[in-house]
Amino acid sequence: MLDLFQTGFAGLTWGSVMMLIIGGGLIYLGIARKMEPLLLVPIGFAIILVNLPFGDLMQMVDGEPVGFLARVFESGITTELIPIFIFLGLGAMTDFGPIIANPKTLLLGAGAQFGVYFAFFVALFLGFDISEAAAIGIIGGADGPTSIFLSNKLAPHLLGSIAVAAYTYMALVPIIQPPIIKLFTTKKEREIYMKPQLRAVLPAEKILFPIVGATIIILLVPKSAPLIGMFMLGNLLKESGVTDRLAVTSSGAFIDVLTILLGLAVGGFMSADNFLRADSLLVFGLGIVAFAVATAAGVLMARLMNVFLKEKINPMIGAAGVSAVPMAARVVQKMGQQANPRNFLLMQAMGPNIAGVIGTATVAGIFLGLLG
Amino acid sequence: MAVDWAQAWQIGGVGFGLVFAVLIILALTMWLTGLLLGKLCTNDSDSSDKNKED
Repeated sequence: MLDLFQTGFAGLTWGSVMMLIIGGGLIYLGIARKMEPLLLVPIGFAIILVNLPFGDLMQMVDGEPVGFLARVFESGITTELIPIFIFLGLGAMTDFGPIIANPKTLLLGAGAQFGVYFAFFVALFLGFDISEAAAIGIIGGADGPTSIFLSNKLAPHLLGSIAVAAYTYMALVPIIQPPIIKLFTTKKEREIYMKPQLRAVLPAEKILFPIVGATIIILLVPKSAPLIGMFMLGNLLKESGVTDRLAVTSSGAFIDVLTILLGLAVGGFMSADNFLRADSLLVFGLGIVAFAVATAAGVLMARLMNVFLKEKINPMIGAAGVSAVPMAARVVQKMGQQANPRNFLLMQAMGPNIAGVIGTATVAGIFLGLLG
Repeated sequence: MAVDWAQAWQIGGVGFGLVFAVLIILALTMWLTGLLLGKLCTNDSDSSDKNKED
């Protein structure tokens, strides 16, 4: 009788138990530590679900998805629809005012992309192939949807570990960045005062930026079209003044639905067989290297710009060039106040923060153009 | 599989350079757009002030 009714206990392995603990750990980080809860909670729970034996949630039959999470994965991740549409929602949430008011902060977003390329070369040195190295390197951009988009194209077998690494490190920004910022700046530099008030941006500029920005970037990097296109469309919906309903939906219910599906799909991918491999640990290790180097590169870029600028910028805002919006900007704001209580760097740091999103999506397009 | 380091350096160098080029062009375009729109707005407000005086 018991043979006909096989319980999950019969299928538990050390690997699946380990994954149950990892899933629980992510849920703990999300709920107790409030670290990226909107992603880590569904990812963590989906990891638990998929590693409880015989649920067949990721079952494929003759290459066709049969299990419930397999269908979500195929429809949303393999087709790339989920990460691309998430960028629509992100664009609808983003205020490009700081970057329009101070366009030179785009250079800080560019500088931070050095972390991506540094990790790319280290990954190659460690034995990954070029496509895998590019997918791992993009973790340095600290952008979850871009990491998923690129790894799905270039290294789908690493998607789970890359996605979890990207979102985990994004959540750890307040812990990872401050020591690196302190290491690469002097006390005097951290005290540099920046006027909090950026110049007033005209409504026409806010409408033109997404249109002109999308056109320029996509003409130069055609493969960035899906991410940059949706990011800029989302922002245009927000700024046009006549599509508020679409902007509210894109940045509200729509992105929430996509976030749930993304978490389920990524977590569902992380069975013990897929995740508990030596290359997953290497991905996590390389991810933090990419992130740390990106932070340092952004700060050093700001210091380099100060050599040429009459009105100095506080180099800490370069650390916000990683695209973990708005956490990286908040870290800079907090450190700025600690160094100089007169300083209010949040709006100044939002410029490079948003530039980082654009920079990372552009880098993904470049990798796809060269390798896809 | 052996890594083609020549290709890797090409991807790294071209890629990093291209990111900078793209964002510099975008920054310059936005700066010019801001300048032009600012001038247009100033001209518009000057001419409407003149009409009010008349």
